[in-house]
Amino acid sequence: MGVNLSKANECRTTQFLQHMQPCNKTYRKCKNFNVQHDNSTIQEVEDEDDECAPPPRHRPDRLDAISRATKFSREEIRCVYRAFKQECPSGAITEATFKNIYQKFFPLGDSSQYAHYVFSALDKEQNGTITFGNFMLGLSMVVKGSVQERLRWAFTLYDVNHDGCITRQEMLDVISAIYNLMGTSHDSQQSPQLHVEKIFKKLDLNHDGVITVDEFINYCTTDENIRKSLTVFDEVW
Amino acid sequence: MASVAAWLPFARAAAIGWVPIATHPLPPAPIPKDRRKADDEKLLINVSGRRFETWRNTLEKYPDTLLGSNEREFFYDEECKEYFFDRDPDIFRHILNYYRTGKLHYPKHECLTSYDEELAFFGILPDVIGDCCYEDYRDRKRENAERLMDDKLSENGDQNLQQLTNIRQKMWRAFENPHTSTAALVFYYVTGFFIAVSVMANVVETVPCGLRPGRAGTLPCGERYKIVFFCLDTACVMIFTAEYLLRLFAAPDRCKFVRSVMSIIDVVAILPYYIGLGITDNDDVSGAFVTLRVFRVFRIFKFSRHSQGLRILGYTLKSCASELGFLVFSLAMAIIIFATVMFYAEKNVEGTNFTSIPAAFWYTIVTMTTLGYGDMVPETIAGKIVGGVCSLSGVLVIALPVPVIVSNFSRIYHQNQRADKRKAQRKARLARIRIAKASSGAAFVSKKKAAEARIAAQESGLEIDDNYHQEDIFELQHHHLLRCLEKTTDREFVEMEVPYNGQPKRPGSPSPLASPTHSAASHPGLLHACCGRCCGQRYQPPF
Repeated sequence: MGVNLSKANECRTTQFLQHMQPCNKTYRKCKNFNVQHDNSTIQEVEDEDDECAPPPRHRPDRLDAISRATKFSREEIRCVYRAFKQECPSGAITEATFKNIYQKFFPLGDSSQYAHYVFSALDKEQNGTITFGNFMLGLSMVVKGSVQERLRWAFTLYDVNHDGCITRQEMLDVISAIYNLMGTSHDSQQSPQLHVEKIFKKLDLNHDGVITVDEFINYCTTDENIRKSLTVFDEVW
Repeated sequence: MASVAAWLPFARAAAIGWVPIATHPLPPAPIPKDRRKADDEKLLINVSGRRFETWRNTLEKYPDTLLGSNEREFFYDEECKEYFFDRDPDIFRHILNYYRTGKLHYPKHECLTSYDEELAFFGILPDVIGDCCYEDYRDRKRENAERLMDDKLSENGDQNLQQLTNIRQKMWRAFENPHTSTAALVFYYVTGFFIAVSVMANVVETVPCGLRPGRAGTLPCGERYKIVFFCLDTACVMIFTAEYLLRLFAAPDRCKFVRSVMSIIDVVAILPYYIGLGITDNDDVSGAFVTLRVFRVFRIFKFSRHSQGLRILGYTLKSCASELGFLVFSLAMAIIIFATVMFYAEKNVEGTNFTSIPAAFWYTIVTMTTLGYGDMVPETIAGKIVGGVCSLSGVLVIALPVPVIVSNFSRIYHQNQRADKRKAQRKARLARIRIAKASSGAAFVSKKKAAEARIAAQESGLEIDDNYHQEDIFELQHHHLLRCLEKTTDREFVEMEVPYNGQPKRPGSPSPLASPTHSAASHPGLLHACCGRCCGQRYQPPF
């Protein structure tokens, strides 16, 4: 279940976008002239200096619906929404904002790559923005899901192109991004490679060069260390 | 950071992705001591009656400010469960918006100093003002600073009235501010008169005054009344020399004075005379001598000491140097271009005036400035077309930098006018303020005396006045403090009309000299211990 733009919003936005022609000053002048006569379709009088359409506004579904779908309490959803709306007034979070937030958590290193991977793991529709509803669904899976669900989510984090299997290259990319969080003061050339080799040796049981979902989940549920570590993130909320 | 604190649970949850690749087992999670149910609570801030509410997290975004740190606890009102600030609510609105949005805006209609004070109170650096408002803020701050500097300079000038013991300093001040004493004023007018006389003499010298004896042509007055003019010139130069030497003597920094523009003008004005004395009537150098006499006209620049407008004009030209340079440069370019074209256009005309390109320069200049003397006129059609274009473009090129220079002049001139007006009004304003404060000071002192008298009466068992009303405990304590001070310093607070001075106990002491007042920016409500006129501080009752 996704969150849709409220119908009226969508209509208006599409109409507006249809009127827009990029970077054509004379056209825009004529358009402004037209706009002043026809106030019903356009929400705001466009200044001649505006160069881009106002960002699309998303409104989330009802609080109850989200609460039911995501197993969060109303108070918790309210809390998260307030922070969400503060960072992204338009109602949908973009990758740039995401990177900003992560940069604040990991100020020493470069968190943009890692943020990109987390973002694409969350972004179900793969269109560059995550609406609040989708965000809550993702969050609910990561925070309140079962072990299986969480491991599945971790799998999509590593599976960059979402084709169902993790190649060496994909794993190398993600692990380098994680290492980048630490900053560049460490010798970061060799360690990701070695790390990837180690992982692949442990996880790739049929040695076909890729890790599938089942291999992944199998390994994670059987390994003792990993099982213990999983419980660390149980009470995150 | 509290601004992204709400995202932390998500980041931690997403860290589950690290688990499969972790080389070591991850540390256990911290257990919060007590699960605060509502992590975020709303705080009520009451600013002079206007209530603002915000989340605690919003305020804690900036922990190095008053509201974000423990300092706000000092303002907490236990009874009403709110934070109370006795400050301006209109400006507080902007400060609170800073916490909410992260951007501090400067409202244009607010006074800069009051805004600065509020920012200082709440511990916010003005540097965080957003880009949208920062320039405006900086401009106004600079304007204010200039004005304050102006005020302070003039105030220092006034204050220095009594501190001159040196003859040198007195003379220098007399030269710089002629209105400070009568002698200075007389000197000012005398020098002005002699400058005028000298310039007039130079001019009248060349007027024809009858026929030359034995030769054709007229005789200029200078040669007819040689002795008279020579005496006049000598007198003027003596006065100017004396003035220059006096100024040199009185100058606090002689090297700087010698290098200043006015002194150079002075020197150039009197030098030709002395050089002329040295040179005899030798034909070879008389040519040079004649040139030197031209420099006598520079005496007219000495008037700039006497006229503020002239000084402003000079300052404007100096400050518009780049615009003037642009004007000259573009004119030069245009002149060369048009002169070249005109020359080649008119080259083949019989008996033409355009004999060379430099000769054509004169035509171009006369045409571009729209003078059009008509001594050089193009004959060919091409020449006439070029001449037309030349005169049109001349108007444009000259008109371009002129508004800049004019606006500069206007700004500086108005600034000067305002400064003068302010200075003139200042004295009256300060006098009125002084009177108002002194009267309240006198009222307080009389109150204090009345209270003392009452206490003395009580102690000696006399009857208490029926009109005795409860005195404020603060007032009583304040009076007591002042009495302690009196006893400590063996002086007495005296009621008087003029600004207060604590005088040693002397019966029938004459009223002390009026002490120089502080600028109106002094804070009311402060009590200064007085010890004479040196700091000129005033006694202010806090209520």
